[in-house]
Amino acid sequence: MTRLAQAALRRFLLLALTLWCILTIMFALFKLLPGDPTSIFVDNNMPMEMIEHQKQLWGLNDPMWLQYAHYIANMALFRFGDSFFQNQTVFEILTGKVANTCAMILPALVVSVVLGTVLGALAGWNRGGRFEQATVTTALVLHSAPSFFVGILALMVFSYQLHWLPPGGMVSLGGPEGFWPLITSRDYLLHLILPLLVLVSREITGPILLVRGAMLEIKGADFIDILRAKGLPESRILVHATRNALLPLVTYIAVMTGLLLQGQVLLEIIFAWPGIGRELVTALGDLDYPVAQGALYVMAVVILLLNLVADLLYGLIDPRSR
Amino acid sequence: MTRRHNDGPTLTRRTTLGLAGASISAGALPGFAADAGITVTNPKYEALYRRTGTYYKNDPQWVSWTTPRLTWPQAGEKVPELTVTIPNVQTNWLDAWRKFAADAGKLGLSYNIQQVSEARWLDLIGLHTHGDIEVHAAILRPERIDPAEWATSRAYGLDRRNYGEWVNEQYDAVIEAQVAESDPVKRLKLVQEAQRILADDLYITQFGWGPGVIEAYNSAAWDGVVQTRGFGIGSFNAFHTFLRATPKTARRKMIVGIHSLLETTSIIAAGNNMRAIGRMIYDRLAYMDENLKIIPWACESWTRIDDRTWDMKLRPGMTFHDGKPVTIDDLQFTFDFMLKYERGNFWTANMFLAKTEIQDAANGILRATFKQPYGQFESYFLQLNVILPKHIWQNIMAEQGVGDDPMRVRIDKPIGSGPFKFGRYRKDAELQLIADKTHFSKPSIDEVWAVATPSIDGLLGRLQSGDIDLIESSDTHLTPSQAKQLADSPGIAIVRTPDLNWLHGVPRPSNLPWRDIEFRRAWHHSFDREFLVKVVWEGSGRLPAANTFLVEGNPWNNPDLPPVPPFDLDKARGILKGAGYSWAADGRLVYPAPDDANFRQRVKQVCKDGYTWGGLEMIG
Repeated sequence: MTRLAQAALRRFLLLALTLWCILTIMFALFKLLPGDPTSIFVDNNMPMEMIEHQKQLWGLNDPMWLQYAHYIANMALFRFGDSFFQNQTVFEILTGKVANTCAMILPALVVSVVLGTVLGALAGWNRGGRFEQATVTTALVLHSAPSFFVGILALMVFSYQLHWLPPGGMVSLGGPEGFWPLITSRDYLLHLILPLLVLVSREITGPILLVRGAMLEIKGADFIDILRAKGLPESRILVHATRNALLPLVTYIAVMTGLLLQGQVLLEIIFAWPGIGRELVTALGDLDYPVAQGALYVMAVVILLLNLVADLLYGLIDPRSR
Repeated sequence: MTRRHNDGPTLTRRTTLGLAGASISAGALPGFAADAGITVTNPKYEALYRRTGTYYKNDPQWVSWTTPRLTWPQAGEKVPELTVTIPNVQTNWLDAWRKFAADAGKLGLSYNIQQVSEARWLDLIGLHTHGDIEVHAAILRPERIDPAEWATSRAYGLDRRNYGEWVNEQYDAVIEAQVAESDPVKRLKLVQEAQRILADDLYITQFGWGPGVIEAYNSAAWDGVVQTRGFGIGSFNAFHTFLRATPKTARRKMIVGIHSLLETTSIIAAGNNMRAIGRMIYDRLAYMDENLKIIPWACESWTRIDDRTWDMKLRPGMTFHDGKPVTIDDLQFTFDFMLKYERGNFWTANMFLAKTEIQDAANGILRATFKQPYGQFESYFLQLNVILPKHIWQNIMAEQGVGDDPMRVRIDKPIGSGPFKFGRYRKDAELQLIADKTHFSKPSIDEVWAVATPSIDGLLGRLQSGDIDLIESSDTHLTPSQAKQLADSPGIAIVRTPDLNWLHGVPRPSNLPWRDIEFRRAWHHSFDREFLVKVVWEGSGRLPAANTFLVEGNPWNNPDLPPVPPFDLDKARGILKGAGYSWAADGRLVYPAPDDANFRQRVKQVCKDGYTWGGLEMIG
């Protein structure tokens, strides 16, 4: 087994252990939650026999170890059960919501990373110039601006006042049905512009500052002098330098994607975007435990997987880390 | 049309509820519930404290909170810090309570105001572990026009939603009598008598009647909106606007912004939104007009046979949205289904129903017989019950493999007989309701579209920019500031509808210090209600005239109740002093001396002279 394969196996086992810990903590947390969720479904004043009958239907009398075993087995197979309130399986609900969130964050991720890398590289290469000053200052301002505030402001100006862009939602009333027809429609692209701009305005700052910082280090590296000595044009040297500056960005993208997936609650509310963040908040508010558990689990799995991918990629790109 | 995904063993409610259920069982460890010594004056009420295995006397948290409040105070003992629990979304309540707490401080009272999430708040009040004062606002639903909804649930001794565990035997007798009184005139008298006892005994205190129902709509596009008392123009619960509004432009589709859309599309498992929207899809047997008068709906008429029997005549010529006729078989099937399975939404509507039988199939007459004399036939039974299409529902439980749990039945496209058909639906995004032009009360418009817009800023912005025509107002009303902001927008009209709302506080008369009626009397004088109405609500509300749930404007209101004790801290201080209370050096209120016979008598008696306390007794 190669060193890379060994490293991958070790990472994978660590991921499985982490996941098991997360599941156990979630099990314990939901057990420790105060209150009686059965009271949501049964009238407080029903006769005791009726309440007991309903509880019997829900099987609340299984021993703890059996509940835990069922729980771990089901979660491992992504069987989250049914929502308490939505008469749908949690899997169905989450699939739709994750897809909707991805339809917002993935374009933002691509634009942020590509544009951020270019701007960061140029800023770092032109150290001390006006472009660097302007880029860094703008990035810091954007990074400090709360996205919900920028979102509301953008809606007020571009939608409510100027009527240039739609006021929220993924498509207009009566727009395309089904996920693929929806995200390939012009209407969706129109609805995406505002949330995309707001997201990019914040998320682009990470790549800009990261790549700029890396470029500052690389700019003074020996291989840059060698490239110059070989007579390569400045643009080619910049490309070489940028490729080397991308290493820290790999990990950052993994973390950024995870955070984006779980953390767009406010934007989803402001732009009436039916995504996973909004679903999780609603589920927690309604004590819809299966949905909340499922959503948290999916987010945990995504973050762990992305970290695993980042670790493996890092190993591939930089042999020193194996 | 209906389907069920049931692919093998999954983490169903069974397992997940089991998880949470463990918190209950963990709290009920043998020997941990130290309820020894907590007794009930009238054994009848023991049922409340023992009925549910892990509540109250079997809940260590409840016991540990309650025991000291049922223990006679020592000499010089201060009145404890009083806990008020407020959901963190209710910023208005918090604003008011900050002022109330500052004023109460002048009386030597100290409040601990806790903010918790709404879900936690519901938990706490459900378990009666919310502390001293439960704050609650009215949210109007059609069935809540029936007086029993609030008067029973919030004050009847055996009801778990009587969060202060107030047990006035005379009140309970009247409440039991009014439920069984089928003569509306006699029932009104009983309900008014109940309100008098409630006000006399100084249980709840109303902080304000309101806030007002303020709404805005696109008057450039629509005419003929209907103001339903208490509900306003834009509530799906009172859908007159959606039936009668007429377009001023070529657009015959009304767009309604709504905070959140359907939780489920099953009427059986419906939450508040599906219940409201479901009214437009499924015909109820009776409805209410804009003045809250009960009017025939799917039932063309009804006849009282005796105090527990009614004949209902089904309106002829109705059809379901799939074209099948609505028959008396469907109606009977619905009741049979509810009696056999239902333990959810429709349970309260049918809890007294014994059986139904078809009296005259040709004329569509069904006889309903109740287990006891029944007073809520029109305002509750007829208003809540729907008609389920038998051809869809008769085998649905078996087909979907849900055992006998109707809450798990999945209905993706509801078929009813109401004025609107269920159209396109994208979860958490949009819902199309298509007018059924064959309905006996056919809408003038062609379609209603409900658009999910989770934030109030989004709703206001969309209304202002003409993207929506009005805001669904079951639980979203405008503040005067918001209305003022919208009033300047062209084509927007502001509408104010008389409201039936209230915001009140419920203390714990079963516990000290509330057991002392003189303390309660003084406490009632400590609230600056004008501050709530004029400042917090920005003038959108009324000073409460009396401590009743059924406010002025409600058809069941008693106009001759004792007035709400006015805000008067000097008077409150005088009452407390006269009752034997004193003040410690730090200004905190101190209980009367342990040997104060009057104090002991009042605490044992709890109720005002002339009434009988049936609830918890003091220990020792």
